[in-house]
Amino acid sequence: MLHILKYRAKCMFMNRPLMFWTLLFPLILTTLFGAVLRHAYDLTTFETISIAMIDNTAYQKNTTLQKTLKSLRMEDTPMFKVQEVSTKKGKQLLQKGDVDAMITIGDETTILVKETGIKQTMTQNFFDEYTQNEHMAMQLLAAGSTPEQLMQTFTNTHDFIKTNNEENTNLSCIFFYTLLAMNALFGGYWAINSMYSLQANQSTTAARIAIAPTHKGLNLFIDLFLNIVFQMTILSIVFFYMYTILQVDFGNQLGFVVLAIFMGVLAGNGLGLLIGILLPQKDIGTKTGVLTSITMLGSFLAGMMMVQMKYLVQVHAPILAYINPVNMVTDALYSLYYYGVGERYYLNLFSLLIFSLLCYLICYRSLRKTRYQSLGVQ
Amino acid sequence: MIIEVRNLVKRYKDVIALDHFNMQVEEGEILGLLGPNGSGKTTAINCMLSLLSFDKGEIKIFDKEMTPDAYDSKKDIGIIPQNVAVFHELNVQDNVDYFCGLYIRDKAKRKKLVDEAIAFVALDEYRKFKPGKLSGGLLRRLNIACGIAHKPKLIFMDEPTVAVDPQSRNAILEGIRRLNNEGATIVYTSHYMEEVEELCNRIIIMDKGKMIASGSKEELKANIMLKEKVEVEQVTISLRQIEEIKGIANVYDVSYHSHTLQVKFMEGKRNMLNLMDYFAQEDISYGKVYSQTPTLNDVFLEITGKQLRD
Repeated sequence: MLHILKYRAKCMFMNRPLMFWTLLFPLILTTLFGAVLRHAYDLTTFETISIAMIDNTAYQKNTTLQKTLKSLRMEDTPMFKVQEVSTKKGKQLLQKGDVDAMITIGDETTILVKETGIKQTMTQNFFDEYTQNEHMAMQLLAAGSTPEQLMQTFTNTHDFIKTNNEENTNLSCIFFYTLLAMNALFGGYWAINSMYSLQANQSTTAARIAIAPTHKGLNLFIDLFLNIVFQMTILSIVFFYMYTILQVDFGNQLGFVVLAIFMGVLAGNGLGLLIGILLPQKDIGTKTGVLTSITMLGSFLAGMMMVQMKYLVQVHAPILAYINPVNMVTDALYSLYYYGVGERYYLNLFSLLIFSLLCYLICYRSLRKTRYQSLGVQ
Repeated sequence: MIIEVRNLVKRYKDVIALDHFNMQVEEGEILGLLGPNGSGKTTAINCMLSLLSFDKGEIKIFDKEMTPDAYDSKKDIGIIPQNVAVFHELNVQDNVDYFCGLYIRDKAKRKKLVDEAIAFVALDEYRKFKPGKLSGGLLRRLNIACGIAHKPKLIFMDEPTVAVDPQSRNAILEGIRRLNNEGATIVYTSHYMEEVEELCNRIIIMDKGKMIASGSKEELKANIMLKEKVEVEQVTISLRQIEEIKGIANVYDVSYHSHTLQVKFMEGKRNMLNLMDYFAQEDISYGKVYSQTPTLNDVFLEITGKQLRD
């Protein structure tokens, strides 16, 4: 076993293309992100968001919202500067760029923006959360909760969010979280390589190994173990680089950050196995291309290229957020940073676990196979 | 019996790759599996090695049924696949050591075997070279070293000389003879009939997944009608003369293209002299004349009606 372990580890370590894509590429990307984005979304330099609120009946009746909008502050800066106007005037203000967004309260709250940006995203985030809380309050009251209980619920929630938000105000960290998540998924390259080296229907080297009197399960176990160890080591290096050199803020629960990364590595490994097995006759370049495409698309949807994308996906196509492992890792790190260890963090970890298990289960039958119908590569 | 294959049937969807294929290999033999590309040679080997599933039949190696977990049998089998099967990240020594280590656990014993295998294929000075730095011929030798380092009793060699220069090919063939002299039984597939003729004690000719003939090269040649083939270059003859040549004793086939005449004779004496006598009698002038005994290609041609290299 040690003999196989030694040489398989050596093969992985000497695999320059994979070492580049899994270690150097993320480090380069991290450095670039660090140079460009580290302070781009720092909320300590927050500027008040100017909004045009349509002064209709629904808004006039909603005094709670009016008070909330006036009371919200980021550090010492008011969060919103509200102009109560007619629809026509609101559109004019928006068109001229005098306001960042135009809000209409009604059965459905609509937010009209001229361009996308961090201010618009924060506005959208706020109104979504407000609408959700308002809806929850209605439901609790309908279910018989007393006003005191209701107050207690919202006070707790508010305090919790406030505590974390006061400490963690740098939105640029989302880019780095996405980068870490992408890197975790890149661990799938090792799994694709393992399938190529160990599935007799994929390469002659694998066929040669299959003929030897060594149990296939042992070879597979060693490779999968090495894949996870290798990718965790690589991610630790990238994480260490982000944390110490670039001083990316990961909050103060690093153990849970590592746990989220580990779950991401498991998912990446599972995805790599799946691609390796579902495309047995394709060359290794095609398979890595498929993994790269999936991971890059996942990273884009998780907000790596523009942070608003994560929000847009969650609002307009939530299913994509739930099946996107890059988003699951990003969101686990994000929720850890903003809200601490809680339901949302564990939900993401659980989703990653389910995703990984599904991948491994689909692969199980093929991995067990010892004789093949055809050996296309031979 | 080292290998016994009975009624092996293997289908790839609607294509029958092996059609009730039978084969026996005795200890110490070099058995040649000869056939054109797609005749089923590699499929037969992969079935024997339990890499491929098959639809029907029975395979026994070392008198035991061959299955993917027949580790007792597998430890005495070596494979030299058609495509070079080594790790490009490892150097020559590490590659041989890795594959040998899948069979031999004892480190000291393995070291000795690895050294012997590297010396056997004359790669001593390339020990620290990665496969990417080796020429095609040297790569083939590394491929062989990885398959034989554990001193298998049975070696499958699947077209080991494809795309190899003549010098390396001779070195490989010489190595195969030495392995056989050291006691290894060898199953050798090729579509190069000269190699098979030169190397193998017994030959199985395959076509369309079937064994169409088997025996020593002498036996195979003895079983066909052709015994002598005479080719005459730069000759001009008429249709009448072609018909008359067909009437010469023992002639059974005459072909004439581009001023080259080919005459096939059955068993008999003075065949070429009879033809030359006819040329003299007809005052036919001619260039070079060749007389050939039948080759395995002729055996294949006579049985299947097509060239081995079609």
